[in-house]
Amino acid sequence: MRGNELLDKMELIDSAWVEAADAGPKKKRAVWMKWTAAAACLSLVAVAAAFGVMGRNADNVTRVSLGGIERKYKNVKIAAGELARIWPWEYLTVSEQYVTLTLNGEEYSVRSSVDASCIGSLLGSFELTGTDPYTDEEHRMTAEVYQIAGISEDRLVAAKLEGEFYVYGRNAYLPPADWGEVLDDYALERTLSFDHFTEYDGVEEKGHYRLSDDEAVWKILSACRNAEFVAEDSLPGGRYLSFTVSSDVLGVYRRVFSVTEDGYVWTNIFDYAYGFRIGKETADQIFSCAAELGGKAEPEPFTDTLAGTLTEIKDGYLTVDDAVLCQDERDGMQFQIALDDIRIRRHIDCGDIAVGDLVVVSFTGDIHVGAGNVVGGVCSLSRGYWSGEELFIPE
Amino acid sequence: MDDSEIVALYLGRDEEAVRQTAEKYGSRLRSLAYGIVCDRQTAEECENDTYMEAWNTIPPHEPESYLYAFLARIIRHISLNCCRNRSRLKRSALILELDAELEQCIPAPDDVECRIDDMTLREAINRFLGALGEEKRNIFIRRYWYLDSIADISGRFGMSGSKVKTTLFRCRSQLREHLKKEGYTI
Repeated sequence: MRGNELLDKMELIDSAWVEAADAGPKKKRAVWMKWTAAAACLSLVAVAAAFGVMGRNADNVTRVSLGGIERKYKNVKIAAGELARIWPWEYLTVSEQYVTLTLNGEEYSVRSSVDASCIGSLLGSFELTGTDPYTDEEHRMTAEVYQIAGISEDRLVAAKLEGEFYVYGRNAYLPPADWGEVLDDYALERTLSFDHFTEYDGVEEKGHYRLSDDEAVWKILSACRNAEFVAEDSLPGGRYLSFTVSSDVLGVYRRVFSVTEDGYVWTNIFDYAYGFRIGKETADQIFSCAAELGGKAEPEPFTDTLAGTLTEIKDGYLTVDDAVLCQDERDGMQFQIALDDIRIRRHIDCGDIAVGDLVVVSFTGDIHVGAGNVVGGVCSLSRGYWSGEELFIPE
Repeated sequence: MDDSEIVALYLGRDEEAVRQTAEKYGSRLRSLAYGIVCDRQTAEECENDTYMEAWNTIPPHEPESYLYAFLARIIRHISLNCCRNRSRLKRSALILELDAELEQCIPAPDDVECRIDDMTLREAINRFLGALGEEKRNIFIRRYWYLDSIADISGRFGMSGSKVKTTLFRCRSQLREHLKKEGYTI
């Protein structure tokens, strides 16, 4: 029997259990997870355009931008998601291994790495734990834990692992009294900036914009410190501006910060869905400010993506050739992906991906043309699947 | 109309059976199909094909006490095949991935001679699921029966994507061990 047959045979599962799974309970964290799901949906849309489509012409050639390099591809679409792949312990990065930090009896979960320049005073040495999913063995280590400059250690701290600093966020649901409290606890004016945003009318996307300067927005937001916390479990509706926000210091990447026309801000940057009633007048000011300072922009992909055939693995690099995507295969270009990152190397070491496979590479850096098209900031490698004229990346 | 009356209409070859089925279960079935194919028009086609299949299979089947489960199983099968046969559907990639995930549960995937009959496999799978905790069982079923994405499962159960992946990974390992231990070669 093969996997596809077993998938078919799952229909043999007791129907009572099938029905029970359809009525599954929703937990408190579902509040923010809904946002994550929404963000995932957005990322699907975004990744569909991740090649940075610059235009199509009559002969069905799509001009795309790969980290600033213009390419001419056949009409290509990508749907991306997450791989349901679990790696052996030794193939996990240290931050993937030690995901939980216990500090003064409170649990914190790892977010992302943070630059040493943001680190404050030493809080002490504390225990980190992680579980090997293959053996269920619990691993423990002690690491120095630091305050992150300006941010309450009740919310976020940084642990030093193998010489790098990683942000850990407290797990507990601790709703603030008002907007002022999160401004102070997270030093938001200093740690968060507003740049790219999308205007929505209900579910309809009205346009993408980029702010030339966010100082005016922060001035408005800083003036409404008393905006009360809103606990309702609902996503923004009506007309709203959705800012895409990332912050190394907060350990968040491409989260959502929305301002609704009816006077609320909603965000998932604190892991849970937090809403604040800023009032219609304040919201109007932000809308005016966005209209004045926002210039038209392209949709932003979750990460940049390049795809092609894995043609060679040697000298610490793998080579991806995009000829298969080109209208004329002779126009193919080769890209170098460094294998020094375990997140890339493990696909090769574990035999998931081999020479000849179609692959998709996500990256957040630039492509260094002078160095032989070395792709910077590579964060994931996935197998791609051809299907007719479309390229799919499985979840 | 209750299920036994609807089934009686099928058994009496009364076309009102299909209308009553659609009225009672149409939206649930459509939504189930949509969850698998992620395409509204295709989901509607799957729904209509399900009524046709029900018409053709009742009789001999007489699912008075499990009509919805009977229809759900049909529409899952039709929707799954739809994803496999229509590569334009984005979901066809997910199906490939799910196939690969479940292959990890098969002790002897390359052995074409080894087969297990449906009755035995049903018992094996259900015994395995019965031994899982409720939440793990539901997560497993959401992934491999409803074909949910990791993000959808994360949202439903309020846990991180990595936790969902780990849970599924452990469930697959346990299913493989269960099948091996009980001597099934599938």
